[in-house]
Amino acid sequence: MDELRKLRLHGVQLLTACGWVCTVALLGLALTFDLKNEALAVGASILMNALPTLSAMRRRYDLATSAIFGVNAAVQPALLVYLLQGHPWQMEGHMYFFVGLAALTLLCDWRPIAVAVAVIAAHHLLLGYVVPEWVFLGSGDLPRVLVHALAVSLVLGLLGPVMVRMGRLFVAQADARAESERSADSAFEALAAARVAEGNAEAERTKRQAAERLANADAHRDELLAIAATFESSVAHIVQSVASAAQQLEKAAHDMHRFAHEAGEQSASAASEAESASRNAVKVSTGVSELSHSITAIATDAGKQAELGETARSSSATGESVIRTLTERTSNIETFVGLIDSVASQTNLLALNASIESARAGDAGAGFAVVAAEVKALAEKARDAAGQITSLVSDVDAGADEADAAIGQVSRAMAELSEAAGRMRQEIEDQRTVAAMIERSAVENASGADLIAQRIGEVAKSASEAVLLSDEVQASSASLSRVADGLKAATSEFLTKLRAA
Amino acid sequence: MGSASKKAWIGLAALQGGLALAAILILALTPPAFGRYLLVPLNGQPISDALLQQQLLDRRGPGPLPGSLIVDGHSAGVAETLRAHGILMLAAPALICGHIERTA
Repeated sequence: MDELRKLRLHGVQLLTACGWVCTVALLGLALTFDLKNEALAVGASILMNALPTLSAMRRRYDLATSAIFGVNAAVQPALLVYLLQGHPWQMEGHMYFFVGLAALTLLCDWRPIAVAVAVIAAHHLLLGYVVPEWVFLGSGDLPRVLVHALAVSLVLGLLGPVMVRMGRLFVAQADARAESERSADSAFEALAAARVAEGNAEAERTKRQAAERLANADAHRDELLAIAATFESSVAHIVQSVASAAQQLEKAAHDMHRFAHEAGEQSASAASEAESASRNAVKVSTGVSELSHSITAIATDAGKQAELGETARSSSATGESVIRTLTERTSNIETFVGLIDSVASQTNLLALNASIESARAGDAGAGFAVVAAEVKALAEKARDAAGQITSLVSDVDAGADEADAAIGQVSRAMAELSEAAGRMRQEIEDQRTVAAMIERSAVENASGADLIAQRIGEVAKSASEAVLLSDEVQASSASLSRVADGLKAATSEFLTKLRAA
Repeated sequence: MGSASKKAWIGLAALQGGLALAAILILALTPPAFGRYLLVPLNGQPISDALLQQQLLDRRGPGPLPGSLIVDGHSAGVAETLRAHGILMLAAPALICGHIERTA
């Protein structure tokens, strides 16, 4: 099926669809504007679309089909003009004759356009005479009909050549495409022939090269043998060196693995011991701290003790002073007792004199004699009391002396105790300073032990990595050894082939 | 087969032209709402003036066909009544029946 026919069949389908759109549009206009005789117009439109629809369904296009579509393109606008009879837009309805003519260009054929133009002109002329008001609003006349006929004829004059030209272009385009496809087929055939010829030439060239190689084989053989000997000596030496180095490397890697493993174990043990030392140092630090606290408490108690001793010594000094004052007062009492005793002696003497005088007086002095006797008795009692006081004072004085001696001893003891407490406080202070130094040292030792444990852990990690690295080195050296063996075998095989060539 | 089919499609094309002509003629002869009409008696009997007066139609003269009349008036409800009396009411072609002078 050529391109032009495909285009026209496509146009047939589109124009059929347009015909049905016209039918629907007529019905819509009649209902919208309440136009008269809509049933006749719409029925005629449907009837006129029947044969175009049949053509589209049969996918047929020829002169008869083109005439069918030309008639339909002229009648559908005529039905619109008829439907608008008496409506102000009736004249505008004529514009759709030109739309119908333009739509026929979808068929790319001048013949349906000619049919449509003929139908339009004929029915305008006919109806212009028969029912002029059916054609134009108001009364129609021949000049206006002729103007319309001329216009549609001009459309044919313009569109007709364009359609002819376009059809020829489609035909020429199809011919050119066919020619191009034939040229492409020829080119493919030529290309295949060229490839066959190239293959033949390549085979011939291969044969020629083989012959040349055979001709030059003897000349190159001695040279190849010399090259093979040189190559064998150099490569064999290299392969041997590589194999030896690989073995040494494998042994070194094995030793390194063992050393690293041992180092790892020792590092782990050292780390454990360092951790234990750290814990012990922490315990020592804790104990020293507690000891320092205890020493501080003891120092506090010793201070209190020294203060109490000082207070006791001060109190004993006060007691000594009091006792000394008491001794002095006792001496004063003895003096007073001496005075009392003296007064008692004089009183006794006076009483004696009185008794004597009373005796001289006889009976008149009898009463006086009694008084004198009483005074004398009082004087004796005073002397006895003075004696007793003297005895008591002596006892008091002796007790005061003993107390003074005892207080002096207590005061000295207190002084010695205070002095001892002061020395003890100083020594406790010294002990506390030493304990603080020991505590700091223990803390530093614990920190150092932690650091040592951390470093030893890093050493153990490095030893583990060294073990892995030594494994890799060992594997690589084994692989290198295998490669050296393979190289040695390949070299041997290559030399064998080279000498056999 | 090809020739027969081609002839058939030529006949269909002629049918399309005939349908178009028939449609145009039918539409052209369909009586308008008012104006000049051609009354054609289908039974061959003359059209009575009483019937024309009853349907408010004015006689203008004889028509081109035997027994036919040219009248003026309105077609609403009239065409059905006349059809019941065996009379066909058509639009009067100007070519045959002359132009109608419109006043409005």
